[in-house]
Amino acid sequence: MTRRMERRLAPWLAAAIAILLTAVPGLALAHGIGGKDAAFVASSHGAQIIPFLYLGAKHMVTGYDHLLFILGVIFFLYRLSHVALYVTMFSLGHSITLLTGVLTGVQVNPYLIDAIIGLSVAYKAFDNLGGFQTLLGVQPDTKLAVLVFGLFHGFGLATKLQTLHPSKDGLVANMISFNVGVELGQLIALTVMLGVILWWRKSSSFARHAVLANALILTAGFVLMDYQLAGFFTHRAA
Amino acid sequence: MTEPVEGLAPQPPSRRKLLLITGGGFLAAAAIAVLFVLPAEMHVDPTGFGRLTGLARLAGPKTETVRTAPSPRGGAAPVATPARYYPTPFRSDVIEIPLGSSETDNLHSELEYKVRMKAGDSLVYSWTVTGVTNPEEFYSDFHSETPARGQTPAKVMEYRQSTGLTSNGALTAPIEGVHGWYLQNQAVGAVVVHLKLSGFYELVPPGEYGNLGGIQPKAAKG
Repeated sequence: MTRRMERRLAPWLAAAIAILLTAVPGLALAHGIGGKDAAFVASSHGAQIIPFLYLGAKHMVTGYDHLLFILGVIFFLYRLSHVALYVTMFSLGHSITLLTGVLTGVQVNPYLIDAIIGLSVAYKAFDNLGGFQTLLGVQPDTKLAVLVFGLFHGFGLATKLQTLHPSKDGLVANMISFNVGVELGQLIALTVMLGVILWWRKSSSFARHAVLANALILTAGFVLMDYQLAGFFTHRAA
Repeated sequence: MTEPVEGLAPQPPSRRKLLLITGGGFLAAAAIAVLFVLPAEMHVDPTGFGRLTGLARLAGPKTETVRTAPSPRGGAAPVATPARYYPTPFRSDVIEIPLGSSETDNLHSELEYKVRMKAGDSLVYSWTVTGVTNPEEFYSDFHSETPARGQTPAKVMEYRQSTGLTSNGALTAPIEGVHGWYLQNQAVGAVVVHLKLSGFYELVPPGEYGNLGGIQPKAAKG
């Protein structure tokens, strides 16, 4: 492929990946833990290290809300050390709440948590565009924001796992396996996203389309938030 | 401009453009959610756009989970009317349900077996599984459901989801519909579920909803 073709194709490829992430129905279903996986969690007893490791990784790789947030976080991170730092903050956040949430049995309405997760996506895109600085004249700490939203992402996961009533037998080992799986899945997703974004940054179109890409991430975040809020209100009314 | 923060756009858009992006994004998101996502995913269709475009059909029939009071452990469940009388004829059936290996015959390792009952009809049941020794390797889900009819949502009532090789009990159907079990063999070998039923119910003909696995009774006394 010539440089010129690459330059012309890059934004379309990035857009196609973004659409795939949000539009594939299988991915949409996989946002929760469904079907056979749910039956497995509900019916398994004792330590099941590898299956829970796999489920954790699968949840991350197919969880478009987590993926969009990570994409927002790394979008303008140019140094690998920064990527590592921010992703560690996110992992720290969601590990704390995933483990304590399931082990202590704290339950929060899953729709509200997922609405906050949607909001976190929109927040990050808005922040990326310098929204806080430009419109409000303040810059909230970017690392702290990633940590705090990480706490909500982990809580969302914990709440969904708990609705499946995992057995107390081997729970600690299973949840740690699930959490390690989540980190592995995140690493896989991160590698792919970084690969695409590093390649895209080399083309001149990146500067022009970066704003548009963040506007789309912001919109997608709000769609997720609206969807979950609608779920919250319809299920409360029922 | 203040000093740039890592992770943010090196050349942020102007104030005007930013307002346009944020406001436009918020409104576009609301429109996408209301017009497309809510009708297709949740059967929530305030504008009628979902019905117009057929998107609402993606959400499938509306399902209502009906809550049932769990029977107290160890004791008999409280019964409002201890003596009841049924127009439905009494019957007893012995049904054998073979389930394939979860490893080599995954397709046949699970099925749903249910019988038809009207609201208020009762049955007693007993089933055991042979071919597997570890009770953790057999999963069942006892429930009732009424399929959706037109605008009426489907109703589902969950009783018990558990592992184990045997179950004995009784059911008074709270709703008209099909009542029975989702059975899942998680063992390496093939197993057989031996189910005995007595009471006021009708068998679902093989291939129809509730008995899509095509199970035939072994012995029937009408």
